[in-house]
Amino acid sequence: MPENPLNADELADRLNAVLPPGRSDLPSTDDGDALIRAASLLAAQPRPEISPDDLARIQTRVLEAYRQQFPNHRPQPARKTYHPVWRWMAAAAAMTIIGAAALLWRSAQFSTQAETPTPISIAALATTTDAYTPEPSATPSPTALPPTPTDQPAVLPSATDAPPAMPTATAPPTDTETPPPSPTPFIAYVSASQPVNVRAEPSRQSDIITTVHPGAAVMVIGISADGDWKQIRLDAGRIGWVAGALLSPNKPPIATSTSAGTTVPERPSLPDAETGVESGSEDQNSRGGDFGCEHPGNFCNAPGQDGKQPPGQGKKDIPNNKGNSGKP
Amino acid sequence: MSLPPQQVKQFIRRSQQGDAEALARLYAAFAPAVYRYIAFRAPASEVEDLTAEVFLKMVEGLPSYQITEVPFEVWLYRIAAARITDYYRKSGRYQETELNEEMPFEGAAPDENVLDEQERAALMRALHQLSDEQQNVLVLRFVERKSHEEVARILDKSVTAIKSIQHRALIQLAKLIGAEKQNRHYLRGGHA
Repeated sequence: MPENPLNADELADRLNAVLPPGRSDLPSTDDGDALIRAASLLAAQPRPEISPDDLARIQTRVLEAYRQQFPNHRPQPARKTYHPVWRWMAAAAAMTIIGAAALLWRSAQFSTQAETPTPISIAALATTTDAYTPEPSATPSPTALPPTPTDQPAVLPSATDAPPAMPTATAPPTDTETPPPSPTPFIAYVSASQPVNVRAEPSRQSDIITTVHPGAAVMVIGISADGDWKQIRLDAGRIGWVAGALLSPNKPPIATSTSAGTTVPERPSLPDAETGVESGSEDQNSRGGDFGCEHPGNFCNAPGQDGKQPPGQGKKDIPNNKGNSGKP
Repeated sequence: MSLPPQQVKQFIRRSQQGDAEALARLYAAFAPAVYRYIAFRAPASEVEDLTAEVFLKMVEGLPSYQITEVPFEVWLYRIAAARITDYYRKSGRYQETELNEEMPFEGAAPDENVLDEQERAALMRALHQLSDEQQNVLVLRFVERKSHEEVARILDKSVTAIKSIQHRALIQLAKLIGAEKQNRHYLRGGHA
C-alpha cells in the first residue's frame, strides 16, 4: 500500500481540483496519489446512456401506472402555438361568421315580424278607442256620409291624442321602388288642410287613385324606400301611397275643412257596437273597407255624402264601445 | 435534458394534478441520470427494470411529494439507491468483500486511464465490492459528478460524513484495483 498522506478533507479538496463536480469531460489525473488515480479511473469510465427504446419502454410502463392513479384525468392536448398571421386570420374569420349570423338573425326577425304582427296591432289600436273624445262639430256637415254597419270597420284606429307608436320594425328599404307593407300598421292623420291625393305608386308622376280628406285617419301599412311616401290601405283591400309629409301621427286638434270648404267633425273611429265583429280579429283585416280612406264613409272618416252622422258614432255611444267587444 | 428548477416545480405540480404530459416531461428529464446511476450500481440485466421501478415509485409518491428547495433529483436518487439496496438484499447477490488492508494498489498511469474491457470489468467488480453507501458516494461523485454538498443532500448525510466515506471508499477501491491488477499480472506469468 502506497503512502496516503491525505486525510478525508485534503482528499476532497484535491478531488475537487482534479475532478471538479459538474464536469463531464475527462479530467486530468496527473496525480501520484493512488486514491486520486482510483477516482480518476472511475470518472474515466464511459457513461452508459439509456437507449431510446429503453426510454420509451419504461415511459410506457410509468405512464400506464400514472393513468391508473389518475383514472379520471383526461390527457390535455399539447397546446399549439400558431403564427400570429394565423391567429389574425382566425379572428377575422370568427368575426365574419358572427357578423353573418347577426345579419341572418336580423333578417329572420324582420321575416317573423312581417308574418306575425307585433303588439302594435290593429287589435291593440282598437282597444284604445275608448279614450277618444270626438270634437263637436260646429256645423254638422251635410255631406257626412253615415257609414252602414257593414261599412263600419270592426276595428277602428285610435283616436286618442296620444300618437300611436311608430312601428318598431319598419320594413327596411329594399332595392325595389315599392317595398312591402310595413309589418306593423299604424294610424296616421291627414294633416293637410286640403284633400290629399292617394297615388298608385310612391311618386308624383303616378296615377291618382283617390283622395283623403283633411283630418282623416288612415292606416299606414308601409313606407317607401326613400321614406317620403306612406303606403296606406284603402277599402276593398286597395293600396295607395300618400306623401308622408301630409300625414301626422297626431290627431289634428280642430275640425278640418273638406275639399268642398265645409267644416266637418272628425268622425270618431270607433268600433260599431252593432257589427258584432270582434275587434282585432283576423277577419276584420281582410274585410274590404276596413281601413280604406276612400269616402264614402269608411276608415278614413271622410265626410259622408249624405251628411248624416252615422248611428252609434256619436259621443254618447262611446261608452257602449268600451272594451270593443262589439256587444251592447 | 436539463430543466430549470422553476420548470421542474411546475411540472411536479401539474403531475400532482394528473397531467400526464408533465409527468412525461419529468421522466424525460431525469431518466437518463437515474439510468446511468443504476447502470453503475446493478447488473446490466436489471438496469431497465430498476429504472422503471424508480419512476413507478415516483408516481406512487408524487401526490404526497412536498415541493421544497431540495432538488427533485435528490428524491429520485434516494429512491434509486433504496431500490438497488432492496434488489441486492432480495437477491442475496450483494456481499461486501473483506479486503486485505495490505493489498498493494498499483494504479494506472494517467495515460492509461482508458481501460480495456477487461480492466473496466475489473474496476466494476472492485466497485461492486464496496459497501452500498460507499458505492453511492463514489458513483454520485465521480460518475454523476456531483459535489460533496449535493451528495450529502442526496444521501441525507453531512458533508463531513460524505468526505469521510469517500476517503474510505477510495482506499478500498484502490486496494481492490491493485489486487485485480496483481491477479492479472500473475495470470500472465509475471512475478510479484
